[in-house]
Amino acid sequence: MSGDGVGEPNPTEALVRAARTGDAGALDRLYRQFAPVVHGVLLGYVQKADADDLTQEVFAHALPRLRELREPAAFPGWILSIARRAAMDAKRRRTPLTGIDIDAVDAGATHEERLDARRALAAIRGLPQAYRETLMLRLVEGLSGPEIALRTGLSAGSVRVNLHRGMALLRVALADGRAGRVAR
Amino acid sequence: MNGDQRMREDGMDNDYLWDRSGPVDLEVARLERLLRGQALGNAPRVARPARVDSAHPRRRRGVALFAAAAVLAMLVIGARSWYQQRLQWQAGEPWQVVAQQGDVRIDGRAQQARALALDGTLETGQKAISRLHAAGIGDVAIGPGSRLRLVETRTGRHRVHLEQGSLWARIWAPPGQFGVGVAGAEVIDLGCEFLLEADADGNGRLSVLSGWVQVDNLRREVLVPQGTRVRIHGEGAAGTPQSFSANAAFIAALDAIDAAHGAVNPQGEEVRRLLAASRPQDAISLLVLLRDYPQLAEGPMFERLAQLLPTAPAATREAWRDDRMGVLNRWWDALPYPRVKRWWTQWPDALPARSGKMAAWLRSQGEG
Repeated sequence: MSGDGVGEPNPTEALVRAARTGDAGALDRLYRQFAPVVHGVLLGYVQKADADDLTQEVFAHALPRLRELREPAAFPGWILSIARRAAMDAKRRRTPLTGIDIDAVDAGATHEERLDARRALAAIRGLPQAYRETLMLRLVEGLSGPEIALRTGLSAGSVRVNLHRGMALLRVALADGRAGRVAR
Repeated sequence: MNGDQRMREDGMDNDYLWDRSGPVDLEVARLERLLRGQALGNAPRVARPARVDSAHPRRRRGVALFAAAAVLAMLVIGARSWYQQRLQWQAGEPWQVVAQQGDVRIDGRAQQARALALDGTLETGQKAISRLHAAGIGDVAIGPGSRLRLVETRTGRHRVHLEQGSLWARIWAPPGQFGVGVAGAEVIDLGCEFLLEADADGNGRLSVLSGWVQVDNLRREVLVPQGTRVRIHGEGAAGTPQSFSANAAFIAALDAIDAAHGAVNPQGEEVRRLLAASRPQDAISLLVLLRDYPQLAEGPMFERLAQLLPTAPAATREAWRDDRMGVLNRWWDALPYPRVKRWWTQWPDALPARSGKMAAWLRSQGEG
């Protein structure tokens, strides 16, 4: 995924225009490029299995409505706003019966690593939205800063600031958690 | 302090965090490794396969993209039209009777029934059975000695009232679209297959074969997952769900606690017998008891449930005191059942081939 479209003219607008005509290839590329971004945003609100489901729902809702998007270049912000609404709806609808939480850690991970992964995820979810989303895209979805900028519609400067301030807050949160566990 | 120093202290020169260039930031790299399993498309529990070099990666990627795009487009269009057609139903349109045997009457008239109209009542005599399409969202089978009234039917909402008898429903639709009223309670389909048996006073039981069902009688709201059953009472609260395979000792202790509406000694004999007979598949029962009767957490039921449903962070009494809902939610998340929100994953319930259990039940009822 890394490197897709980076350093080239923003292809989103052309992609959206082609997708609007029903071009299956364009629809597929649009999905492939933006599904990780949508997923990363959703992961800031809900657990992985729900984020997987909701990612499909977001695209099932959005793709048939591409024509309603006035400015194709605004697609990144538009799809992310749909994702955030879907996440908030999911949280509001939440009933305490959603079944097993898939332990989404590599099979080779130790018990301690699994716990650390959960703690890290919880710490990221506790950050302000801008930092949370940017860090999810960087640390979980594996996008680089320039890719995040391209696929969220944010400026590269904003993404850089969000990444570094968010990471600073995350380091503090993780260190506090470690200190708390040691104290106990 | 100059600008460069300020930048370094802010970490803004961390190029590894920005684009993975520059010296590796060990904490960032560790977080990447820990969290990569959460990414979209990463299959958990499975080690990542090694990358295989291809002689013609571009061509293969192009073919794969084209095939994926074509499949995606076909799936989206096909699924969308099928889904919409399935859920659409004109308000008040009668339900089609697709099979019947024995003395079946609609609105008191013995006839070869073809449809059940809105407000119409279908009755089955001894050894008589009937089967209907529940609008377009599934099938309903009626056992002997039953009275069923069609109360409401339109896109998004279908309700029948089972005045007495037995009803087997196999529904594939979003949660809440199909519901069955019995005396004193309402049974709501949350995307599933279930058998409901009730007498004229609303006493009986509900058994869930797939998905989830909600029972609500204003006294207690109970969510019943697949593989469990629950007692319903026309004059009282619904019981606590219990596994199909729950043993007699567990059921007896559960009945005693339900009869007292949870007002038993958390350290007492009933709880002790219940826990002694509990197995992992009984976790749903303990969880519903703790949700509805939180005082029971003062006894050993808390530790037993924490043992049956391990969570991270682990459920502790301190956490229970501080954030009971948080602890309950983590336990719910750890239950080994499909998710209500994923009702569509029960799609086999939409296939005629999956009607075998219902047909077998109908045959057994007709022969009985």
